[in-house]
Amino acid sequence: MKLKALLKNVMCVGAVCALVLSFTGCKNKEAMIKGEELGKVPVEPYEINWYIQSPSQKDVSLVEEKVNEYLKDKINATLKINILESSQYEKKMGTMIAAGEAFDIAFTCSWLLNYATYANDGAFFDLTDYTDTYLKDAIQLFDEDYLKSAYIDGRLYALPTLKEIASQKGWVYRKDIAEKYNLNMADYKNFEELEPVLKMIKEKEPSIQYPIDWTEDRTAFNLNDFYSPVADVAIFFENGKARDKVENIIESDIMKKSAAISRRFYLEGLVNPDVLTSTNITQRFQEGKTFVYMENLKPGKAEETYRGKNIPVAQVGITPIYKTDGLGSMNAVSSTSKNPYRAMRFLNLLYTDPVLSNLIVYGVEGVHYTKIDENRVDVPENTGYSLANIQWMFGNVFNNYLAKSEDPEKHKLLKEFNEAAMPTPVRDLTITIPQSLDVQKMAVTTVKKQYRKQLVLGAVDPEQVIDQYISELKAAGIDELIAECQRQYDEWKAKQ
Amino acid sequence: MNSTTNIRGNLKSELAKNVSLFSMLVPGFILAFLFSYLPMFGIVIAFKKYQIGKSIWEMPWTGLKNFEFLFTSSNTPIFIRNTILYNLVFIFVGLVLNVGLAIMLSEIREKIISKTYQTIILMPHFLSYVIISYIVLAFLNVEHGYINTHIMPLFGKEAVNWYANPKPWPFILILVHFWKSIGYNSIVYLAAIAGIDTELYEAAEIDGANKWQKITNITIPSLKTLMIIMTILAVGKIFSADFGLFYQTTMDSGALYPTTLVINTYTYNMLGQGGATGIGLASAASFFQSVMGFILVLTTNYIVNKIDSESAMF
Repeated sequence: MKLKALLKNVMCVGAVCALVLSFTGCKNKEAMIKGEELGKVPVEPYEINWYIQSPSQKDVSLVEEKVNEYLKDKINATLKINILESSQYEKKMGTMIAAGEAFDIAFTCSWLLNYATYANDGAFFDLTDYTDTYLKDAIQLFDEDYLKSAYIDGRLYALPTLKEIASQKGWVYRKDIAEKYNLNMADYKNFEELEPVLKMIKEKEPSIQYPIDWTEDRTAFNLNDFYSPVADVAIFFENGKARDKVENIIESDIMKKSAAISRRFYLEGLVNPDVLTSTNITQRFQEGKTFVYMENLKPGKAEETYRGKNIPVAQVGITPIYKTDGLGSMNAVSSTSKNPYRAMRFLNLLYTDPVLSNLIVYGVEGVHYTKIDENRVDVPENTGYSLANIQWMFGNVFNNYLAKSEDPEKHKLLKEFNEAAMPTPVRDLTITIPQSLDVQKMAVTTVKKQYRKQLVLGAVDPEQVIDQYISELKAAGIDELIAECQRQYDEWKAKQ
Repeated sequence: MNSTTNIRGNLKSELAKNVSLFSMLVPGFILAFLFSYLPMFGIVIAFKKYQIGKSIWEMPWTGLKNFEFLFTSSNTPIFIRNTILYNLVFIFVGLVLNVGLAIMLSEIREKIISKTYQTIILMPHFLSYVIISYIVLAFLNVEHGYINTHIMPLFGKEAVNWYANPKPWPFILILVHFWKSIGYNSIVYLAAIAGIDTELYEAAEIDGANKWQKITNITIPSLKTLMIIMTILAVGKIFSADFGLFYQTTMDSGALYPTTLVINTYTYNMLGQGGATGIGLASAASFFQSVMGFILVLTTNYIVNKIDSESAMF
């Protein structure tokens, strides 16, 4: 009995202390800095914490050292490059943001660490008022429409990467094998037309384990163009026109057809049955295990992906070239940054200063790469540092050196590609889901996570799953979301 | 009788007598205070509309809106069912296995052999679930997994895509759980068995009891109190699940949620991907978890108090 009474006392005292302490712990954060004088090197050094997603790099600290030397006389900042593996990025950053942890810059976009969601939640620092001060030089480089696409209700929360502003879907494939069998890949406009070729290759090429490869966003379904404002809801484009109705993706004829193709390929052994747990398609491709996969293309995409890897690769576009918005790749300043002004000054430099940009992309000259001429570099395989494959995730790619294996005309081709692009049928339509539908949005996203992946990958029988998937989407309130999207879509149409 | 003064007086002399023993409690108290008492205040977030970058005071109240979503979500019955059923299996099957193993080990006369067994069985406990998840993957991989390449053909069966098929997962997870935890959990019982007065066994031997009779009449009754306490502790945690087991081992495959989603993985999913709305929901889920856990501890303790007040905790 004695011990029990003692225990009770201790627990009560503990609870009271905890309450008192946690109240005192909730006082306000320190006062924010008001701003910095432009054109002057600040006296106080500041460490900029930057989060990006990439395979980890051994020599990050070496590069940071050089960057810091370089930045000292410019903005007196030090840079900490925090590299997260792509599989962790979303959750780690999401948790950090939710916890209000301090950091300065992070990669964000429409497909990872969703820009609109987190901007609306107040995770990102509002850049709008600084576009003609701290960010002035960078902003001047932007195409107006492209920059405008990154605005949410007239406010800008992240800077898009300056790169190609158009996109086309197509095949990335083994050049040697295509030549051997005299295949013109541009002739195959979709997965069905490609099927006989795949079967032939599976039969005749024993080194190719699986003729085609895919991930959740590279299946037959993704060959279709559409605008998706929220999970599992889309406006499909057909022959350059948008359909009139906002649709439930899973109920659509397009999904039914695509899921059936995926399933057939899966059962016929044309694709790796392990697609659910192993998603590294570039790894498998460069090991020579696969023949082709579908990809979002731009000029030089295949060479960029497989630079320095000894694999004969080619690419061909098969869909219309559409203009893309800036939401595919951007960098935001965090609202928890202790000095957002210095972070913006860093971004400004990143977009305008080729020395800084190349240092971050290619690493240290003589250690991680050697120069061939003015604009071209040779990057040996397996260096301790190279962000060249993900250079489209930050800054201004037109400032970066070209690798030896790349087309020397790449930057010119990119610009031509940009000009050839046509606007999507819903060009400036941005549907925003109001907060009153947050719960439905969340519920639908959860349902999607449970079903979508294995359905589009062909790992389950669509006949068995699709009806249940649809009924759970309905229970989650997808019809309310569709109605809201349809309303905004109709309003937009009326204005055209 | 004035019990409080009595306790105080006793406490002082007890403290003075056993300063070194009590000082050993201090780290434990500090940890419990920092990680169990201090964060308690955070449960108010469950009743607020979470906003990033604002202090808890500045966020507006939303009443029970977060809970409303939680209890209308189609996932909620699934994760509640999974959490409870898995834990019931872990507790009751675990009790039998742990006590059984402890008795078996204690019956081995040869010290070296018994220690070797114990070490081997204990080993998996020190592996992280991240590593275990890859050991499981080595078995269950569709293409190269041991089961699909070696076991299924034996029975003339087709390869199975394990990570897309929720049905077998309760068995897989239960197997993995016991493989990892049984060695560690039986240590407590093994220690208790070592503490049983050997005179009891000697007396039983003189009376002509065989091994089985000694186990059922001496060992198990002596372990009764410990078994009850361990079970109470476990029942109090019936509403929380081992995150590593359910998140890592399943590779967080959405297809498996019908049989593998538990409250902890649900909360984590909400936290990481739902933005600010997700935090409110995650807090609501974990508040619900805490309340249920609290009620369960009190209830089980009350029941034990009725049956055998000596074994109750408070």
